[in-house]
Amino acid sequence: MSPIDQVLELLRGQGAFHEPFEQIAGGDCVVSLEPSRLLPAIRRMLEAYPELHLSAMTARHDASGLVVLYHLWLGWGLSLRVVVPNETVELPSLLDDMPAADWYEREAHELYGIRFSGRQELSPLLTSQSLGGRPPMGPNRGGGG
Amino acid sequence: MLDRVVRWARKRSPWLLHYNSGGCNGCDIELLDLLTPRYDAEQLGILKEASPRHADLLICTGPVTLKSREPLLRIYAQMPEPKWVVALGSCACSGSVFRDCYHVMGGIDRLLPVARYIPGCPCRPEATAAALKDLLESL
Amino acid sequence: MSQITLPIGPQHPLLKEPMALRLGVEGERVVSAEVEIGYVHRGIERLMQERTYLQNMVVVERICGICSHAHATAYCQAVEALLGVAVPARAAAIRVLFCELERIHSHLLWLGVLAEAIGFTTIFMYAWREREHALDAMESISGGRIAHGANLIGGVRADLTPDLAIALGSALRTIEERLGLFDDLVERDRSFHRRTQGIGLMTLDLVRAQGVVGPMARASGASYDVRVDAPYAAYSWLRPPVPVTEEGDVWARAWVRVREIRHSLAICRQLIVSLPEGPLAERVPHRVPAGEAVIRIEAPRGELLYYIQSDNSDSPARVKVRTPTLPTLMALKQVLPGLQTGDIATVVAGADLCMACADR
Repeated sequence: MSPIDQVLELLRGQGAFHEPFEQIAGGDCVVSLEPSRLLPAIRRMLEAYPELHLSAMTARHDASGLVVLYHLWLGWGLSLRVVVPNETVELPSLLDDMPAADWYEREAHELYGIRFSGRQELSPLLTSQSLGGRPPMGPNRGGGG
Repeated sequence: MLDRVVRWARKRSPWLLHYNSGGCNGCDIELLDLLTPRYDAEQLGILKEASPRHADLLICTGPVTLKSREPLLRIYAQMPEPKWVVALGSCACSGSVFRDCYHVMGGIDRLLPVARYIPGCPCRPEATAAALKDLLESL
Repeated sequence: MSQITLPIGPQHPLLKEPMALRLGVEGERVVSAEVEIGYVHRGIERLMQERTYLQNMVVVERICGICSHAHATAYCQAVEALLGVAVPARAAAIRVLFCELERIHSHLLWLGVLAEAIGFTTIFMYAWREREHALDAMESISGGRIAHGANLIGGVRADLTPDLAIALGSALRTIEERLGLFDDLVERDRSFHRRTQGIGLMTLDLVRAQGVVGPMARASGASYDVRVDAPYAAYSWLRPPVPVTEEGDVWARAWVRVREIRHSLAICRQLIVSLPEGPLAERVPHRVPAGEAVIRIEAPRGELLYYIQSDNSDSPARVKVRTPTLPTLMALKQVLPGLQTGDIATVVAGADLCMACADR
């Protein structure tokens, strides 16, 4: 079984994901998950791949709201895509299982307003208080995304 | 040129403090280069002195980020008179490519009175040395 | 014993770039550490959405003055991936030449900064003197000492002509001759050992937990190096050796980097001899088609990731930049506690922090 198939098998065991994986430019595979399946999927992957490495988290706008991509490296690149349709939806924090997510979650919150449940504080990482609290890349800041 | 500077510098040896208020570090490392063997600014009597309370000359690199505003004002306030501010590099002069960024105020003169503007991206050591010589002669 | 808070930064002689540390200290020992960043945060990711792909070439080079070519390379590779364009072999090789010259200058810069922090001012002078040869080489080829502008979307802008190759060979030989001094420092200098061995320990577990990359990680036993694990540009045929060691202290970080300098010199020499023939750049379409790209490269400090989303317009819809210093900074919170206050400077200087990269 190819590496991606092994991971898909594992992720299937965690509950269905939205579409077959796609391969994007640069070679990373992208798999979409429901927010509620993210933490079980990460936990299962950490068991199977103890050297799993979180390279980055990208928050961005999307037709369906906001999207967070978790860029993982397991010897090859896998990005997990989770949609955040509106402000009321919180993503589970990965902090306890994957401390590397700490500052990336803080940045996603600070710049895009994305909320993460299950963690104590999401204090701003980068920006001055004088910005006034509106996420500078979030939906309501006007002009571009 | 160097003789004139050395003579002048022996009359007064300005102590220099450097602060990066948001730059890419390019100008900073070129400034630090002035102390290294190829450029050797120490012979000019320019001593780098890290404490604001003993500095004559504040050399600023980088655009002023919103978070750097308070630290920069604090440093300037701590410096005794007479004091001069130098904007080193294009970002310090005007904000350069980062002018329109949401976390950038602009160049140093948005906050502090600038005695000399030294453009460059980054500003090479020779250009910094020449501009500092010019400034020192005018003080 | 009562605890005091030792604030370091944003302005402090120890810090080359602004950041703030709040250290809880009891007697002579650090018991807790808070790390605050953002003083160099400009807001580059949003800026890049408001500039064209071409204008962003100028922006990415100025995210960080030390690893400017690494950013330019990762950015170009991401755009080229979206365009479906492969750069010509000669261009890929020249990009790697700059990558390795940049690694050399960055590591020598770091060595000098560490040396100065622990009182070896002569080593700082020697390291920064040798660094000049790498900067001269990059300037002679591209016209830029620091911001080189060597890359184009589709290739490179400047060539390594036969004359430049001769001058480059000479510069490399000079640096290599003087590397012996740094080898001696790391292998034989007992006072350097006293100041760096067993200091600032970062375990492999911490590396994995925080996602630490680059020489910091390789000094703690993790072998990940993007040039070898996911080869890009000319690394598909160049095979850099990856020095790894397990001590996890400041000494190990010096050991790894001095070896990497030597390997980078060898790669540059190999490139001079085996530079592929051919054009310097591919013609690229004006419009970047809609899509997403993720690119990872090995910057001097480790894995640099660029994500770009295109919406088929003149400007990228999203550019995400994750720099290798970020996980090191996160890990610092756990590395600093337990240190003697006298070793704080050594560990902070030895962490090769780049705030311009971290804050963007």
